[in-house]
Amino acid sequence: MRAGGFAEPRVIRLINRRFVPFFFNTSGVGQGDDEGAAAFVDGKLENSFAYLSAFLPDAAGTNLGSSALYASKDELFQYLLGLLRAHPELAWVTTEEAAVFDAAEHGPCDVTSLLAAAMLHEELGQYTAAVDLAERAIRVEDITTDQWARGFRVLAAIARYQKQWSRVADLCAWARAIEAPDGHDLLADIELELAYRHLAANEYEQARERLESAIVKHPRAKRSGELRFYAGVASYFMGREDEAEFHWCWVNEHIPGDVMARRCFVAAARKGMPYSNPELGGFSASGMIGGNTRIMKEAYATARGNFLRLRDRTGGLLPVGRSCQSE
Amino acid sequence: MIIALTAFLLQTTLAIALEADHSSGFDPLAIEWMLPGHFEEARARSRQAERLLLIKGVSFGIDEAGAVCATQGEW
Repeated sequence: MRAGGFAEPRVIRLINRRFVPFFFNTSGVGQGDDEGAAAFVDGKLENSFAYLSAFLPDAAGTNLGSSALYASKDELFQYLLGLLRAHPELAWVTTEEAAVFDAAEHGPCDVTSLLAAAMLHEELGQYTAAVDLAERAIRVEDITTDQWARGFRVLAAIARYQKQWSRVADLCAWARAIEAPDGHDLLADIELELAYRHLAANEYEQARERLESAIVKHPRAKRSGELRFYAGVASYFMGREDEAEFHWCWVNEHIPGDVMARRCFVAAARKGMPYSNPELGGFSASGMIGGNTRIMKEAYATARGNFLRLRDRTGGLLPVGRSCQSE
Repeated sequence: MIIALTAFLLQTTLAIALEADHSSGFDPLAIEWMLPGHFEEARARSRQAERLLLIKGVSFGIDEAGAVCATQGEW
């Protein structure tokens, strides 16, 4: 459920801002049925079992089509943006949002207002406006290091979304000079953004090195789950599936409330899934034996066994830990 | 390969060792799903708020936990 697109921060933020999301069980097995929903969608969908589909709030509940069944996180985001562009009357700006935009546009040129508006535009997928405001914010003289870091996050994320990798590298080089109060979070973010660049170029070894180094140096980083998920992805594409499973299961076992937890479960249980994972090679993935719920759980249990085995084998190596802990 | 695996184990062990003393950071961000059994409420909210209704059909079952909390259980 929270695999792939549904665990992608920009998808989540856009759904929460602009849609009313509802889920229910279409299988007839287990919990989570909803007769009203089943009757509502009846006859409206091509695939009535597994889907994400949008409906107008009109009396008929007109269907606007579904996302692709195996949509990647970026395709899902574009699907949502497409719906909003096609129906601007349902993408209206709230009073609170209007106040944020107004403060940045007409108020004094203060960093707080500019950054708030930049972050809001980013959440709404309005990247030109977001970049303009964030760049104005970071040029203000009395900006704090914390605000500078927030400006970096907006600019780096958008550069990543737009696959402007040299800009990502430039922004990261610039951000290293920031001594932000949440320094560990910022440094982890920098490594993550640079790792995305490696992943996009299929440079898995470099990506993994960078991510695992960040995991070690910044264990309390807010984006720990994301660091682990992609360290697992890089390991997977290097053919080191045990180590990939270690990272994915780690997230499930240690931070189950993290945004990446379900995505990590799905990756760890990939061989028991009934569909190929778009983040692990999609239809070119091999070794799948799935699947139903029982097979998925068994696949996860096998991955978890690898996680426990690797964890147990690492006992007694604390000198390295002490050295890094004192950094 | 052996060197790489050793390095991997050292790093992951360190992360575990650190966890013993510090809680790990995490991001609780999640979609604010409306739950099964509340479809009419979801539809009413969509109409009232003038927002698009997104419906996710789940074909591999939902367990008890997942039916009452969108960030828990299996679904």
